[in-house]
Amino acid sequence: MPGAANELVHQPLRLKIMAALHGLSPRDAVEFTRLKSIVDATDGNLGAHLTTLEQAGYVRIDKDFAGKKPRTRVALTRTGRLALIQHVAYLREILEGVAPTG
Amino acid sequence: MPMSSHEAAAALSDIAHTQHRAAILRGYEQGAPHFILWGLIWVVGYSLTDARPAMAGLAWLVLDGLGISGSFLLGRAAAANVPSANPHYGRRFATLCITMFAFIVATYFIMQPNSAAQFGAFPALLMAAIYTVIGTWRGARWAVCGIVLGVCTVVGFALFKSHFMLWMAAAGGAVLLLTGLWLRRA
Repeated sequence: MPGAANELVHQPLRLKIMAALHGLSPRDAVEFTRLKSIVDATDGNLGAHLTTLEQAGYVRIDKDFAGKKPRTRVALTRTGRLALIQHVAYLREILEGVAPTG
Repeated sequence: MPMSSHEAAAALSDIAHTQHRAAILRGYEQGAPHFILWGLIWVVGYSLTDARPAMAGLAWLVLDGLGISGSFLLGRAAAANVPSANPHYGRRFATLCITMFAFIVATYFIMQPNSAAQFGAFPALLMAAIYTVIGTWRGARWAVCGIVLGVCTVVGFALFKSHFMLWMAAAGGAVLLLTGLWLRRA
């Protein structure tokens, strides 16, 4: 697959979010609190970047209740998965000297 | 603006690090309730073994049955939250239990332990070794539990042999319970 730079994905925290979600299978989701631990972010910072990714169609955010406790679960969409794969391919091309570097 | 190779390498490293951390935290999350369950079983089992040695065999049969059933249900519940979880979970879990049981029985048969403390120490040492090895791949907290459990078992065997079962109820049970709480907070 040819690589493509993606500024939206490349932002450090968003890249971590997408990498964490990419480790799951396409049907799986991760809870907001767990994602916060994985990427080591604050509630507000994580929420803001998730909104950006959701608006781009890269993640899906589901809110429901686990018993009486509200639960927010996040999953990577097919579009998001593809965007990350293309961005990773672009990063590898840079290292291999295929893509132009700055 | 095109990215430098240094930036690209750093980004790829971040991705690898994050995915590794995600896998470790998921393992901690899944392991925590099992440690708590088995910690409680050890507290009850070793205490009963100390108080009623003649009933130890029956007590452990019942408690191990409860623990295995509980672990199976916990694992199945965790798998239900992960649609892609391995569909052969039940078969794999049964294989794990049968293998462990067969290994312990075969070892007792060959090594012929001649004291209650030896009978009690061997499964604890086996679990300590397994947790330590798991920790090599699945996160340091497993290994810390394994090492502490192993040290507690050997120390108890060496220094408190006359009260070894009580020692294992207190120290071994506590190590498992605290590990469960520690993993849950990760």
